[in-house]
Amino acid sequence: MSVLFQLMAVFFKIGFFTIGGGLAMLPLIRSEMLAHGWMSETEFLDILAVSEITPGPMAINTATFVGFRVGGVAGALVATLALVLPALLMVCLLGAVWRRTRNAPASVRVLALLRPVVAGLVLAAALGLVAACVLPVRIGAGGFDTRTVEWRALVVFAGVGGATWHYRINPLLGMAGGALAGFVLYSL
Amino acid sequence: MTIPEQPVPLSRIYRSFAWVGAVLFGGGYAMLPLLEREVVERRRWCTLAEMSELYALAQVIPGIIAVNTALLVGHRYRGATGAAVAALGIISAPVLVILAVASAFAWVSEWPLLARLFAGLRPAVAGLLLATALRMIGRGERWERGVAAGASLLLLTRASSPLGMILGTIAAGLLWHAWTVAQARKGTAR
Repeated sequence: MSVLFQLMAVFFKIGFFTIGGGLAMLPLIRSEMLAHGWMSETEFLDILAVSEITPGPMAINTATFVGFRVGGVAGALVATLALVLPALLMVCLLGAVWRRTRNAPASVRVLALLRPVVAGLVLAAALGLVAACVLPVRIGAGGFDTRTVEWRALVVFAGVGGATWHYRINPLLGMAGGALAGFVLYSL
Repeated sequence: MTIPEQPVPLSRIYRSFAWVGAVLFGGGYAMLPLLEREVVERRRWCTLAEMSELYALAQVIPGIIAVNTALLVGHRYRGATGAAVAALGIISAPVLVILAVASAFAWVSEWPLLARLFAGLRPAVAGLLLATALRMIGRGERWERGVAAGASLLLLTRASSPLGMILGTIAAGLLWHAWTVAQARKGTAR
């Protein structure tokens, strides 16, 4: 079996069987890479680090990078497209059904409940992210985990959040401003 | 759902999602402020409430949530082709950036300036996301705000995973529907 075909099979399988988002895929990608002997643990960790700081969904970045390492540019494209293909098929299947059932009374009731739940989900994600940035866990005296206020992150968070809430600034502007402010603050 | 009167051109779908993919940092949820800006405010393809429906659906489909959301929006407006185009759009920039980085990896990984830039990016994304969450909640009625608060509390205390919560909500909605239908039948039987 050629490497490209193996990559395609591996990533199609991961794309098909992972529910719950891209982050749930990362351990699967890791174990496949190690099982096939395509890379070492350290190499994979380096790839994860880069995937986290480059734009785009992390699982896409990881798949592209891993595919490139294993099979060059063709490998990168094959791995990435194979990862997305199951979802595309699923959406086409589900989308056709959804179009017909969207306005059925049962769907209307499910959606009425789903909307506030999703809003709560987004709120929880936002608060979790705020806590992770502003109150990072540090290993303190005696090996106990302590949370310390990271004031520089707090300044950036409050500035960007406030500006977005009050002035509806462009999110791109908020991110660029935050990155710049963070850069200045962390260089002090 | 409000479908625009003119069919949305495929090139427009591609460009919109290519933009989202290029400036997306963080998990699938980080995409929401960007989608709110591009799909809701600039293109007016759907409302914030409709976007959150698609986002909920995206979580119960296997795959990557950000990509699934793109697929669903694309499919909504231009069927299978629209879905494929939206997905290609959202992965375009990441694939190109990774290919560029992968070719010059040794150099990039030792670039300390990058770490400092990203130190500010994370709290900025947190601020953007919190504003989007508050707008989503602020538009709801009183009971909806209560449900949102309860849902986020359950998630923050790790009593439930996002997927479990959405599946549970779907089940609850179907039960509610079955109950209403049963009540209506009882009413007509009398």
